[in-house]
Amino acid sequence: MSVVRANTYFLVALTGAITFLIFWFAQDENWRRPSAAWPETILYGIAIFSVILLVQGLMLKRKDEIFSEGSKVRILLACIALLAWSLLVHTLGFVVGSVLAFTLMAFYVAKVEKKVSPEAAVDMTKGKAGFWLVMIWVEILILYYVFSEVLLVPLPEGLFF
Amino acid sequence: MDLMLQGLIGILTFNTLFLVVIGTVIGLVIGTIPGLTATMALALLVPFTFVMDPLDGLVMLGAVYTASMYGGAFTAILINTPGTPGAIATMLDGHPMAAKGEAERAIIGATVASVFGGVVGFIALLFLAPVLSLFALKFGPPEYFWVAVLGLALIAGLSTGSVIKGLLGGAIGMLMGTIGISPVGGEARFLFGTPQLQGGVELIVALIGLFAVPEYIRLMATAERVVKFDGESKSASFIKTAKEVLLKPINIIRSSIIGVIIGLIPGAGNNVAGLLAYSEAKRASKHPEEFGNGSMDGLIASESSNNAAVPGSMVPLLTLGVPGSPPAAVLFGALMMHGLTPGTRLFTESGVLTYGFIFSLGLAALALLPVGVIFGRLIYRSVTKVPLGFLIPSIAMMTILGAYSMRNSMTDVFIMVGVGIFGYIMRNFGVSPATIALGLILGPIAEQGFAQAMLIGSSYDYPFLVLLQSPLSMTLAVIVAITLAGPFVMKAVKAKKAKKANSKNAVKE
Repeated sequence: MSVVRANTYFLVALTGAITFLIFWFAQDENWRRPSAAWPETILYGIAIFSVILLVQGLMLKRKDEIFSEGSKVRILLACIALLAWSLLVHTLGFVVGSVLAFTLMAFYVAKVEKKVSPEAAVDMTKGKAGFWLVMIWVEILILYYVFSEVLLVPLPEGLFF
Repeated sequence: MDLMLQGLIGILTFNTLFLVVIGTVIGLVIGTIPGLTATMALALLVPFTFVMDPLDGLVMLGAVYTASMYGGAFTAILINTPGTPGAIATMLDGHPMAAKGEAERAIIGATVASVFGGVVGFIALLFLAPVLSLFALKFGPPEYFWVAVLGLALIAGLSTGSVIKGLLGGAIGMLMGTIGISPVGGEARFLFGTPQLQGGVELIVALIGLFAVPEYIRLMATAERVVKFDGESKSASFIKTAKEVLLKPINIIRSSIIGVIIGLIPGAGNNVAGLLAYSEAKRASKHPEEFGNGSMDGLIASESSNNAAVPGSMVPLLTLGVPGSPPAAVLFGALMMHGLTPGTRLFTESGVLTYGFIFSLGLAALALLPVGVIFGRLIYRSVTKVPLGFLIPSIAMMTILGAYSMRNSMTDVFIMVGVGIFGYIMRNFGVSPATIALGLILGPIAEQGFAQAMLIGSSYDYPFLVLLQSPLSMTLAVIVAITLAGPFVMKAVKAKKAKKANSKNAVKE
């Protein structure tokens, strides 16, 4: 996997500039002074820090390694998986959505772990896979019961439950 | 004194002690799970105490509250995610200790420091409540503003590498804190066409995003654990670690006192206490460079102060009838339900019950020692033995559940995912998520204090001078100035000394 290097001072300055622009134009001129003063002050602070970081970036010209922990594909996959899981829970309901997402992720991680650190990984037999499936259902149903029945938090129902 | 003794005798029964242990276990479980809060646990338990003897009910609620504050340390140490906002500073050194194979030492250290802090807070509540309540009354908007600024000064200490990056992170956190209804003017700010954002970014939701999501992404990307339980992990002796903690008396006493003082201030809470005590411990340490890399001093400061803040927060509640935090508000309701009216006459009219409740907080603090160590070791072994294929999806599911359960809202889940991915990216760019969290926690406190102070001072020619009007606000402003200037002065002094030493060496040669 290729190493990505970048000037992080520039990147943080860019993030600050984008944040500044998004929030600056989202301000409403009808806000009264007590409500407008605080965010405005913070935005000025963000602008100043971004400029300082930009100057620091120009002076240092240092490039740091970014996203260096593990596989970049799996970083992206992790972000997509979390978003997809949330959408599944929203549309299918907590139990059905979670069982689907949990099962896919569990077996995918087990497969990856087998490649990355075979000594620590689980040897997945048919019996073990069956046991895992049962345990996934048990864990999700226990959490569903605790949250919806004991803690009285009505979990998303979606199409199913 | 008679009432105090009767209160003590009242709770020394098998039934009450059993309830303390049960309450402690419930509190630990609640505190361990990010997204489940002490407020939620107390609110759910209050109806169960209807059928109980008033003292038993209050004892159980007190134990749950105390233990839930401490339970947040476990996840902070083991999976780099604070179970409660008060455990943010615990995470900064607790997790690096666990990563070095010293998870047990960190858990025992956190437990001993929590017990010490809890006992100090209990003693302060028992003997100094009326005096402390007068002190709490001195805190007005200018003082709140300075306390928040003092906390924000910590950003420089939390930044790894560039201080400016840390300050920008803090400012972004503060900006996130302005989303929703303005606390002073009442206008809806930065909704971006999403009415659900009127309630603002819920703190716990953002914390789950900032700390748990990056850890989940890192685990998924590497498919390797940071905290292991194998031949390389060092098992820690309880006595040795307890001695190590207690042999740092200045740090633990100072942090506990900070916890009590911050606990007294309604609205400040134990998250601010932990961060301030951490900052002070770092400033006073001979080895500040060790902070953030697994320093026992950092862990002690955070845990002793956030647990001392729990009894501290009871002072304004019991003496003035002012609930200073959401859990205290629930306890306020519970006290009223059992026929106790918090306020000045509480100690004389219902002294036995009130002192019984106070003693139960002390007992709960002590109960943390056996229950916490056993529970902590159990969680450590479980977390490290669960197959990775099970652990990663479990963390992902808990982030979704935790975020959703705050307000039963899927919007919060999507906010959590967004904040989490943003936090991960920022971490890679060298901005510590802790600085963003700090801005989010302290920004609204600072804004409210500042705006209210300006309204108070609007009749003056220079309204901002109201920020320096009282001796207490002036003292706080001086502490802020010292905190901010301190590192630069120390750096300059060190550089001067090094220069002198170099020139002397050159002359000798």
